Amino acid sequence: MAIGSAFDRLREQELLVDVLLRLDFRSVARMRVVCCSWYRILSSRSFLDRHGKQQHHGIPWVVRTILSRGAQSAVLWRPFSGRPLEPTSLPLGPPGVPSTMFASHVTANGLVCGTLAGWPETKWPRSRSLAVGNPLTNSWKVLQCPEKVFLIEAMDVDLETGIYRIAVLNIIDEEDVAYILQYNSGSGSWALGGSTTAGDLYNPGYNQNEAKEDGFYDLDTMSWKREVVSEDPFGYWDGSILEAGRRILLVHREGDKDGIRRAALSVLEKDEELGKWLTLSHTLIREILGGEWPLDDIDIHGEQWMAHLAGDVIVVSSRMYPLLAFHLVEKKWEYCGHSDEELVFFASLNYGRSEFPDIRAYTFAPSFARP
Amino acid sequence: MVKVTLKSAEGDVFEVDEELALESLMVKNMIEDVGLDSAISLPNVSSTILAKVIEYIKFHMDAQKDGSKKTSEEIKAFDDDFVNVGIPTLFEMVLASNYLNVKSLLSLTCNTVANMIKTKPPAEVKEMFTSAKQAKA
Repeated sequence: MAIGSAFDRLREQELLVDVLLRLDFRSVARMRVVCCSWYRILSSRSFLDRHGKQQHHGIPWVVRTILSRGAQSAVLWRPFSGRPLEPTSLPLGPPGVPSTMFASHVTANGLVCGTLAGWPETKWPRSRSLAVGNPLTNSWKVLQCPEKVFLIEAMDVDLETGIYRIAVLNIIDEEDVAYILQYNSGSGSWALGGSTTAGDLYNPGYNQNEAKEDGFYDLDTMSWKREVVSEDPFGYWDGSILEAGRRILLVHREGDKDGIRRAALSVLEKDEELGKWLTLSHTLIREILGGEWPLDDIDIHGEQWMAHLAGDVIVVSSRMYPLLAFHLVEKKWEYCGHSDEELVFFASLNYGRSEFPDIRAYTFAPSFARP
Repeated sequence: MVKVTLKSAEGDVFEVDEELALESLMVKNMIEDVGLDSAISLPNVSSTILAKVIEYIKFHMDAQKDGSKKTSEEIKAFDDDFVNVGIPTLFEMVLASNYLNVKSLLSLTCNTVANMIKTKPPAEVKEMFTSAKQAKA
C-alpha cells in the first residue's frame, strides 16, 4: 500500500485541481475560504482560464425576473446548454436597491451595467445613478453620472487590466441632440464623447427602398460612426449594433412588401475582407417559437427590444415575447419558455387593458471580473 | 479467451479477460511493453479498490454489448450505487482510476467528489477533506 493519505496524493497528483475544475462558478467563489491552498488554486489565473473554457463554452447566463401583482420570481436560463429553467438566487440588482429600480442595458465580460431607475418608460424618472456589477460574485459598484442618464449605449472591459469603459447616452429633446458621456474605471473619470442627432438614433435608415444604415458609438475614437449594413431592403426595420469590435449587428423588423405585419430578427456580421455585411440569420419570430406563441404578431411600436452579446450568444429580450437567443457559431435560435404568470396573462388577455407583468432580464457570461 | 493476471498492492492476484484489462490504458501499455507472460503488477492499487475497478469495467462492458437489455436508468443506478462509498474509498478510487487510466471512471469519481463539494458549506468541505486525511494518516 502506498504511503501517505489519499488526500495528500490527490493533491500531489493535481487530481484535486481536476475535481475543482468540475465545480460550477458559484462553488468556485464559495470554496475559496476552505483553506489557503484552495484559495490559491481557486484564485489563480491559470485555474480560472481552464475553468472558464471547460465550464461555459461561450454560453451566457440570463436572469429573468417577473413582477406580477406584487409577487416576484426569478429564473436562470442558460440557452443552448440543454438545461431547464431553474429558480435562481442570483442578485437582481445591487444590494439595498429594490430590484424594480435596476434596469440592465449592457453586458461585457461577466459585468452587467444598468441604470437605477424605473422601467417601463412611463415610470422612468431619469436618474444619474448607474450600477455596474458581477452577479456571480455579487459585487457591485454604483456610479454617479454628472448628468441624468437616458440610456447606456456601450461598454467594454480590457481583459488584461480589468479597466472598463461605459458610454452613457443623453438626449436634449428641445435641440434634437444626443451626446455621449464616457466613463473610464481606470481613472474614475467622465469625459464628453461624440454627439449625433436624436433623429438619426431613432430612424436608422427607415426606408423601404434605400440601403440600410445604422449608427454606433465607438469607445476608442469616442465618436459616432454610420455604416451601410444592407443593400437589400427587408421592409421596416430597427437596428442596433451590439459590439463594434466583433462587428455584429442585430436587426429586428416588421412588415413586408405586402404590408403584412410580421416580426422578424436578422443577425448580420461584417466580413472585413469583402467589406460587406453578411446575413447569418433572418427568421420570423413566429418560426423560432414554433407553435408556442399564443398571440398574433405584436405591433412593435413601443416594444422595448434589447440585445446582449455574451460569449458566442446574442440574447434578445422584449416585454411581450419570450427571451430569444442566437448562437453565432451554430447559427441556431432557441427560446426560453413562458412562465406560469405569463401564461395566466395570455389566457386572460384583453388587448390594451390588462397589465402585462413587469419582466426584466440581464445577461452575462460568467467570469470573476471586478466592477 | 486470453486471460491477463493483475497483481494488487497486497500481492493478491486477479485473473481477468484481456478485453477487460485493455480498458485500462495503463495496463494496455504494460501489455504492449512486456507481453502477457507475467502478471501485471499494480503496486499503487489495493485489492479492495482493484476489485471495485474490475466490477465497474465489467458492468459497463456488458452494458455496451449488443443484446444488452440495460436501460440508461439502470446504468445510472449502478453508477450512483457504485460511488456511494465512504470518502476515503472514493478518494482511493479517484487515484486508482487516474493511475490505471480509466477515463470514464475517473470522470465519474471526480464528478462525485465535485458534487459533494457543491452541496456543502465550505466549513463542511474542509472537514470532509481533513477527516479523510486523518483517517489515513
